[in-house]
Amino acid sequence: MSRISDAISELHKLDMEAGKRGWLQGIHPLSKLLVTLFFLVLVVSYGKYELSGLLVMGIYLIITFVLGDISVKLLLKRMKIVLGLVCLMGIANPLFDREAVLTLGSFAITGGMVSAATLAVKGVFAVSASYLLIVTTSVEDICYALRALRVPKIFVTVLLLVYRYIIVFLKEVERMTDAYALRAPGQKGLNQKVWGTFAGQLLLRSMDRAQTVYDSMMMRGYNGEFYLRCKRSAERGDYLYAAGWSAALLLIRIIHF
Amino acid sequence: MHMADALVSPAVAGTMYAVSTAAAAYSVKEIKLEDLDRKVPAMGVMGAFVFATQMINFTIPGTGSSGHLCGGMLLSAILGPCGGFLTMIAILAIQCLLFADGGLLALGCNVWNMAFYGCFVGGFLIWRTVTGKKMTKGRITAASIIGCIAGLQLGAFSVTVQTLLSGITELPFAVFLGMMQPIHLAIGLVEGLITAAVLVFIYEARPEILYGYTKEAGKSAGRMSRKGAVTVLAVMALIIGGVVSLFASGNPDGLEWSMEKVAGTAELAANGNVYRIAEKLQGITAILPDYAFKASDSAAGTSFSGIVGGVIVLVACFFICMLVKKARRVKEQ
Amino acid sequence: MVMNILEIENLSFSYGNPRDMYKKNVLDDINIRISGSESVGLIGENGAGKSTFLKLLTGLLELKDGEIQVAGLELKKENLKDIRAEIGYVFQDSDSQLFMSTVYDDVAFAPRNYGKSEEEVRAAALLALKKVHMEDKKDRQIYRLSGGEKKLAAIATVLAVGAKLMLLDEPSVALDPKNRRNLIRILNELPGAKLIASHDLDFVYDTCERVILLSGGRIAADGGTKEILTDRELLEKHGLELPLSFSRI
Repeated sequence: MSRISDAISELHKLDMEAGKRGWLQGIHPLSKLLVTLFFLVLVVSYGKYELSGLLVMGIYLIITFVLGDISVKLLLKRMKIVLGLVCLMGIANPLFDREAVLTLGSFAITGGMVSAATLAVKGVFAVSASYLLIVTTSVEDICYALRALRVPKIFVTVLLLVYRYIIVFLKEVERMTDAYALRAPGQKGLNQKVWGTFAGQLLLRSMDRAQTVYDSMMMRGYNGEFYLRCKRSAERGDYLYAAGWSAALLLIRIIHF
Repeated sequence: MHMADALVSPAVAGTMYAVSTAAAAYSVKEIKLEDLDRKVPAMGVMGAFVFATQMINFTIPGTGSSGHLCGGMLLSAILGPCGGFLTMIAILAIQCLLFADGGLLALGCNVWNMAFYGCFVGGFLIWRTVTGKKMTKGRITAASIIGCIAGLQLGAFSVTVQTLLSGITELPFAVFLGMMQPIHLAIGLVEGLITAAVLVFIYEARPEILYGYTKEAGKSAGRMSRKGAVTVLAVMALIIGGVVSLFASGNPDGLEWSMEKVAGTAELAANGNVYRIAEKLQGITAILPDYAFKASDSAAGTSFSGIVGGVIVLVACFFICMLVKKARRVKEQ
Repeated sequence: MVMNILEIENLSFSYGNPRDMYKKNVLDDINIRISGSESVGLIGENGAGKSTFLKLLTGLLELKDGEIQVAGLELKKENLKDIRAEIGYVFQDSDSQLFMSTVYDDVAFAPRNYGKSEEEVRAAALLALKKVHMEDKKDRQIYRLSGGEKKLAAIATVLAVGAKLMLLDEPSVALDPKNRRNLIRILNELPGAKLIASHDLDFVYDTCERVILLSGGRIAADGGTKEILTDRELLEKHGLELPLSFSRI
């Protein structure tokens, strides 16, 4: 199933990107997480006709992408999902909201068009900002930032474990579906007769694996704590990054463009 | 059903983050009373399992299309509602971070729409009611189907309400709802059947891993008590009430939507205090729109020059950055 | 007298209810002593009780009958944590054993749990990785390692706590010839006692000086590697075959 191999290669690529050495990768994960969230909040806070002001927020993305040498190849692929969704929601706007707000020669631009465009820009900005975070920050580092924000350790541990085992299971599911497809030529998916056994077998094996993971944890003195690596504590540069961007973004938001 | 960041307003995202966090905090508290050391690896591994199996295409007989597994229901049937809920949050967080499926800011909404309803309504209320007294193949199937349908219907309803409250679409509420609910009825039925098939297989092969299963195939051994159930219900009623009142206040003259209509539903009628609480909640949430930085809903704020100006700023910014980068390279060499 | 790292006396074990009269012992009256530097192969056909045996030694299965001493400590609940610092268990499935995301975090997991300072943890982890020649891969995601590298990383996780006795469950499974040779070399470089449960008799021949043959839950033979692994009659009687390197001759 190509969806599965796509997902696997996506994870590999993201990991390769996040493992690169650059100034953006070096910034403390907490700073990056907070700036990302702040940016997202500001972006979605723009009203539906405030396209011009919203566009200026793009400064953040352009500066970080260009100066951080961030590859946009992976980003374009991610845009597809969100743009599809945004189009679905925004498509009605030009139909229902026909009040002309501007005229360009003889062509009238309606409020609906502006709000649909605003929606699309919000979608593009939000996905880019999240992408910027994950492509410069590993999942372990994000988990570390979450711990710093006092997210309970049970949750962070589960998050880490899910991340660790996603690829293992994706590969297993891929092998199983391949084996199935080879013996059931011409079928597009899984026949209803084997729904239960197919996923059920995998589930039972997963529970066995969970037991081995538990054993392995116990063998190594597990006592309820996953110690997360802290590469270093936050330095002046990290505070500066967070404070600088917050101030700049807030300024852009307040000034009327 | 994953919401994107662009579809939510800060007020809606914040409110949903708050309620989802509350539900997560409750789950963490509850699950700490269980056999935690053993449960943590099970949650992690099962999370990855659900993530991967959601990519399997289950062919729907008689149609050309395919359905997928319902994660919340399945996880709750094995890890219990609290364990299932926390695991679902982890899955949703990873989907949003690594695969851009759902937004970071909309995570609170997505957790509520998919994980909360799936785990606490489908996986707890319905699973427990139907299989609590006696666990049989028929009951497991019934619980799975009803649970999935209920979870998805509530989820689809929340998606509609959240999107409209965020004010990003001009789609009339009735039209939107009319699109969402029937589609998710069909999806729910299929997901329910698939989930039922898996759970029935587990019941036959190794029933002891099902949540609430005991040797006498009788009493539910689930830890969560009636008190827990009542709490969950009350919280749900409160939130639905809150969301509804928020909606009503945002659209005082909108559509034919009225409180009386909603008040007829069981959740609100069950609790007389809900009105008062909802009013309070409304009082709190009503402040949020005032935080908006300026009068944003008027089209007058838009001007052609403004948009062009915005674009020019971005282009200029891009070139300046490229220059800085180039200068840096030259310096390095 | 040299202290034995492992002493097992009259060990018997069966799954389930001990009063069930129809049931058979999975392990029956086992007596073994292993000294601090011995490398011992544990062989036997499927179902001979090898995995059960390893799980009993680590306390993952509860001891019901008999006595086990690891590094002078009696195996019981109170001592479990100390005993597990002395025993390193390398699971057959490396993916289950390695549950952290990166190699370094996984190797550092045990030392951190034993309350070492972050500098000590770092020193222990890097030393362990050096021993298995994996220093350069310390920041890798586990899922990006090959099967052979995962096995080495799993061994490093065990070395990081300074285990004196290493238990390896089918270490050579699913390794290609090059990785297999590499693993043999590394295991032979490591000091300390090793107990290697395997079907791969050639692997046992290359890594162990002593072999214990389990059959039907009992010890069928215990002696020098060469002596046992060249005894065609003995091996075939217990459902095994001569290692390939001898059968060719």
